[in-house]
Amino acid sequence: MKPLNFLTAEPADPTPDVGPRFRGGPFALFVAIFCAFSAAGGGLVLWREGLHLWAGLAALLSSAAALWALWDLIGRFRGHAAAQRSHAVLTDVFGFDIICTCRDVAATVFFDPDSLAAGSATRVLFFVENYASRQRIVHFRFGPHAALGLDEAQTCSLLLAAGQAAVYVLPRAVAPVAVPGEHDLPVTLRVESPTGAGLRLPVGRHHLHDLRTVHFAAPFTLGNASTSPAPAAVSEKPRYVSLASLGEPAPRLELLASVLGTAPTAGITTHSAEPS
Amino acid sequence: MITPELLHRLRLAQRRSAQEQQLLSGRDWILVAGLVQLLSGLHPLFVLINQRVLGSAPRPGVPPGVELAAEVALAAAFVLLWRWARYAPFRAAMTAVVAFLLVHGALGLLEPRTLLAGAVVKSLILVGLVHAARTGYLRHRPL
Repeated sequence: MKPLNFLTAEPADPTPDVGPRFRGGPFALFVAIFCAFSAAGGGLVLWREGLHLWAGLAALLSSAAALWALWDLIGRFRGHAAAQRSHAVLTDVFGFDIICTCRDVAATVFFDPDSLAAGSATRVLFFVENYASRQRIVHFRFGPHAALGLDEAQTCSLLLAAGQAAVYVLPRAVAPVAVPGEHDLPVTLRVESPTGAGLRLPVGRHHLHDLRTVHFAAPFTLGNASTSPAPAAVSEKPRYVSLASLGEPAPRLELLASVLGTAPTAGITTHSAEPS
Repeated sequence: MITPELLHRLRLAQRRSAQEQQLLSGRDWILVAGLVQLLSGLHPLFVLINQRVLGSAPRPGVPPGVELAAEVALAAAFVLLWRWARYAPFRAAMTAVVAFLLVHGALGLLEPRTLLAGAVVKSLILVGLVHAARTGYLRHRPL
């Protein structure tokens, strides 16, 4: 079993997992119908051939599979009644251009600021939001990128509770000798469902296709070297902060403002988190 | 609460990143078009083997060797354009569209039946290339 080494957003989100482990979508419906037909048809054919034992076994196995799929479907409908509505922070509150999800997790990666001079500081913002009723572990693999001092690819793993939105802020300093021009930081997103898929939470009017792996290319424009030789971001620590929780009536965007340094940080606890 | 200025700044940066993400899919369309084009060359290859090795009678129209050479050359061009699209996505995608239309237009002039052969696959390739050109064009539009 793989060791679980992931970051938990601050403040912690106590939202429990709800809904069935298995989603019971169209595939479960297909299995239920197909196995029910197989149980009836296969059982009758074998019975008429005089193979009573085989008929019973075929009917039993097919019926069991059909019932299991049917139970998943029932769980899906029961869960839908109890499912809460997602805050849809990324798509609705921020109005970000999100085109797909990765196993129910919407994500976007970009630099702030994204136009900077060589030798200056910037932040990579990894926004994530879980649109499932069960927790997810999000794996971001980013780099390598020589201008950002990333000699090899790094990975950070983030835990997301059901319906939680969060942002991982990674301060980086651009190398003073970096080549001016357009740059892209390659980022690959993969998501684990350690406690099962759960249900998809309602996300407003948006329909987002679901993928297994999503690639990003976070762009930034590099100008000529700045006069300041010491980048300020080196002393900052990465932070992973929660922006919204299903248990709260509204998103807490003041946390984002504090992390980005545009609002007072009094009373706000931030979490230091280094990527592995 | 988050200020409107900060929100605007984040939206602009995110939109730029989203367009860059779409560019990845645009580039991939050119590569996929190249691979599909290479697979399309299997049919003239089989016809060529049939004629040269098994001695079957030659068919009227475009010789299979010419058709095979055109398909393979176009596939190779798409792979090269896919690499170029990293730096100039719009120009690479437009070059791919023009090359595709020229090659298949020329083959269609020589033998109109080649236009109908694999028309669905050709249409899908063209849709992909137009999509790549569209995403490349969007990148250069002001936000």
